Amino acid sequence: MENYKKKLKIRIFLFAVLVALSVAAIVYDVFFADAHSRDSMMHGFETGAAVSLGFCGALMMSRYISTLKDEKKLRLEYNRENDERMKAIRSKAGIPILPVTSVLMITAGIILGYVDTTIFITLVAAAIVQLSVSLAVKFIYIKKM
Amino acid sequence: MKSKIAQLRKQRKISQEELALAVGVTRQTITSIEVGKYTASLPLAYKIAKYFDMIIEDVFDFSEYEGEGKDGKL
Repeated sequence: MENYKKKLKIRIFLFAVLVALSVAAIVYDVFFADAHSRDSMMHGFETGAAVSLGFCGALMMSRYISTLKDEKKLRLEYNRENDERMKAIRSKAGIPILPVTSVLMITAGIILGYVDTTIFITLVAAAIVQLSVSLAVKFIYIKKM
Repeated sequence: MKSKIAQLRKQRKISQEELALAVGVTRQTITSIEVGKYTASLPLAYKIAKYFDMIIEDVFDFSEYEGEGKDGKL
């Protein structure tokens, strides 16, 4: 369990970095971005993504902090992450490969979006479909297994 | 696969959550094993049997596999 506590502390640190980066991106987008780029769809998407990533990061941080304070919660969280049935379900749903490729596709979409908006829309749509299929498969197997 | 986990739990007045916590899985996994939706791995079956101070064959019903694997027959 000590190793798991260390793992959670590392995750808290990484989420804190994510929140800090998101806040920096939001501050830049709101106060320093030039007026021309502010009107683009890419700018709106970037700001929205930064806000949601920062919010999710903060939520996960608070969740892990409260888990670290309570031994029972810690044990339950450890069991939830290492549960063999859930591991089997996750592997059938392509987790973590599909979410990782989806994030890469969205990142590539944002970068290439400055060249061509169609590429951005295509990549983001493909990533959303990929994630939706993974989620649907996960729910189906949760019911089945 | 059928098992006697629910029966053993009731006899010993143990909740699904207590058993799940002791063997390192979630309560939902214990439910799935009890209703026969999920077949526990060998290490998990061993942990559950050990928790009840029994052997695996006394907790899990292997009758559907009887005869399989003998003389190379599957």
